[in-house]
Amino acid sequence: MSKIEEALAKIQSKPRPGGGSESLPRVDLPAAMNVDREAFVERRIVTAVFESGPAVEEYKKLRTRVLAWLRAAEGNVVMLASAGGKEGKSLTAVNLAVSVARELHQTALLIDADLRRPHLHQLLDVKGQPGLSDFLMGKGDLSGLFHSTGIPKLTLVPAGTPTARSPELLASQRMGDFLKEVRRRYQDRIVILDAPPVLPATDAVILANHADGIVFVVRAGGSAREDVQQAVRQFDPRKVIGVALNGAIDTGHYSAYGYHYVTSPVMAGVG
Amino acid sequence: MTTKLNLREWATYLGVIRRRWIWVAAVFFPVSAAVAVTVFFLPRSFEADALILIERREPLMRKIPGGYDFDQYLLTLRQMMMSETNLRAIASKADMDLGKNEKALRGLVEKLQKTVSFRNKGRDLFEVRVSGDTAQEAYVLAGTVSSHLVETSLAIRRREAGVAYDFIQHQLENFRNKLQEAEERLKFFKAEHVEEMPGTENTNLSRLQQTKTDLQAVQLQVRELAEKRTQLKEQIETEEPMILATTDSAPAGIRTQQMEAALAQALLTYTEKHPDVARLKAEIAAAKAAMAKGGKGAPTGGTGTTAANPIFQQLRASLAAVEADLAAAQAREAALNARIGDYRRKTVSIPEAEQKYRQIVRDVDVTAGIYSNLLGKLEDARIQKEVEIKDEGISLKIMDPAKLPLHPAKPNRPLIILIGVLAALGLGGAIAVLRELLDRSFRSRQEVEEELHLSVIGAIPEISTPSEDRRSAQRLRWAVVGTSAYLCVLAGVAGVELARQSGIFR
Ligand SMILES: Nc1ncnc2c1ncn2[C@@H]1O[C@H](COP(=O)(O)OP(=O)(O)OP(=O)(O)O)[C@@H](O)[C@H]1O
Ligand SMILES: [Mg+2]
Repeated sequence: MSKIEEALAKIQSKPRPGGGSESLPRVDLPAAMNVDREAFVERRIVTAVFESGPAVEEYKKLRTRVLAWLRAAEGNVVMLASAGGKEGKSLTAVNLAVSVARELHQTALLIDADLRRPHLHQLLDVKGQPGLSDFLMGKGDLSGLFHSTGIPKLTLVPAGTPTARSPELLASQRMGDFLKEVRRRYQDRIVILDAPPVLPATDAVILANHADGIVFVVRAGGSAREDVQQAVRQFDPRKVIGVALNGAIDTGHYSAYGYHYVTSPVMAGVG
Repeated sequence: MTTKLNLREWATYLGVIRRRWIWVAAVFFPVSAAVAVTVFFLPRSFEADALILIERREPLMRKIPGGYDFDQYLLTLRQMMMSETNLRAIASKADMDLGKNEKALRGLVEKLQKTVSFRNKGRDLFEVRVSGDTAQEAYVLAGTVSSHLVETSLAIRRREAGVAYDFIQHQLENFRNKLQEAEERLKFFKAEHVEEMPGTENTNLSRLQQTKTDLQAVQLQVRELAEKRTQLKEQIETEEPMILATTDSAPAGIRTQQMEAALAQALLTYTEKHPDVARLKAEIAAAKAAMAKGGKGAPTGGTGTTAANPIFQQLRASLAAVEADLAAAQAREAALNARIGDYRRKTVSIPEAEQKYRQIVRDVDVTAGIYSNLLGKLEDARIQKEVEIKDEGISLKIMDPAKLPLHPAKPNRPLIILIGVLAALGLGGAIAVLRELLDRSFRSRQEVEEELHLSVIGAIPEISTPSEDRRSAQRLRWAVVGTSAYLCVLAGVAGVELARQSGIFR
């Protein structure tokens, strides 16, 4: 790397005022580590790779708050929603799930409830079928839905075959039964639902009936304020845990952290 | 405190621009490039200037009321210069050099009106600057304007003095003629009305009086003569022209008696000395003497014959003499009467003549007054004229004549390019900031919490991937290289223009 490149890399690594960025320097991991570090990093699943860092810290904070809420609400299902598309629900859901899974006594179940444009299986590099839509349409049984992700204690239920009938499927009795079963079978687990955007379709609102808490993802520089407000109003305010501001600037916050990476393996301490 | 806030504000703006650099670039490159290209298509304008010195003679300057204000003088000079006639004169002078037609001449006048500028260069120096479409035009115009300025500023004052002098001289001549005329008229009038002139009336009057006395005497004489004539005529009628002569002595005695009776008659009216009386006396004496001689035998003619009556004869002669005298007296009377009429007329017409005379005299007086006044003025004008001709007072001198401009004054390409670059950058930044302001999305935790009334439970920063970092590093490199190259091109273009301006390529 030439000197200029280094300098440029340094400039680039500094968080932009519009939304701090996290540089991901190469870190040599023990050969025993069973994860494709590079692949996770490229997919921004930073929680799977780093112990610390601005983004990781924020995901951890989000996890803490969500877990506290669920404990208080005596539930275990959290849904991620956003007003428009591409605000970072899926990424936040994955990072939140990984953070939860990395907690000592927590297990995470990530369900891709975006039946129109399923995305999580790609993000976690997992087979997409059979998935939730298939199950809801009566194809296959429950046991085939759970896919392991390579990250300990994190299981994924992919969305399955993309379908436009998602609202009726999500509102179906079968969906209710499925979640009841999930709750019953995995009481110690945190169930994270990745929903489609709120405003374009009713899916998210229907899905919210099955959730105990809702995390609203707002992308800085994304949806207009009015849209976000409108989307928020669709939900029961008692269920809304809070907002995960994605791509946010928060200068005060940023200076408190800096770049202190823990180079230990992700799954350190996991038995 | 405020500076900190300002710094923070600036940091925010810089952040916005950094985040929205694409807009900055999207505006900056096209706009600055457009400016850089257009600058070469802008119409060029050349400027030429001449430095002019104002020379002044202090003693004379002190005479100028209100003192001497250089700026004021410049202003006046400019106003004088900018008059339509002056500009036309300049334009037509310059026009011959520039080889333009009548239509272009008018354009030239308009151009001069807009482009001629006077600038105070301190201590009696000022600069006349003229711009033109070509170097030649600017040069010719500046040269013509400055030389015209110098010429006319003198000529105008000279002409003013000269005109004043000429006018006064002309007037003076005029009045001299008038005066001469009036004096001539006075002389002629005096000669013509010498007796009617004031002061001669007494002589006229006494003469009239004298003549009147003379006339009375003559009239008396005429009356006497007329009386005498009547008497004589009566006497003649009583006398027989012929008498019968009997004896010499008897008739002689009778005749003597008759003559003595006539004498007595004559003595009634005349004195002894009167010629008639004297004549009668002589005749009586002669008749007595003749009678005494005839007694002694002297033959006499009177024996029974008729002879002429001597008394009759005598009376006739007397009548003739009286008539002649009367005619003469009457003639004199007529002459005297005529003279009296003349005198009387002359005496009556005196006031009329006097009025006429006074008018003529007044004319002469007034004309003479004006004449002498003009004479004084002419002297003043002559002095003024001499002063101006000697270039005393203010005069202009070209210190530094206009030179052919080597490079256009406008457009100032390097400057415009520089301004264009800065303006494009500013515009890009402004548009980036504007977009930021128009952006209705949430950007900070604070905004979200305030407007959604929800707590932010996580603020996840932008996460960049290594491949993204590499790509953006590469992009930045290219951006830096590209922008540098672009700026170098612009700087090179501007530099070449700047060098051309400063005359390196001369
Ligand atoms: N904090 C972040 N930093 C950088 N990139 C991000 C961030 N959050 C999300 N992204 C990127 O934005 C894109 C959209 O994210 P994601 O798919 O998570 O959004 P989504 O809300 O699930 O979208 P959709 O509505 O399509 O499901 C992805 O490419 C993701 O990598
Ligand atoms: Mg998604």
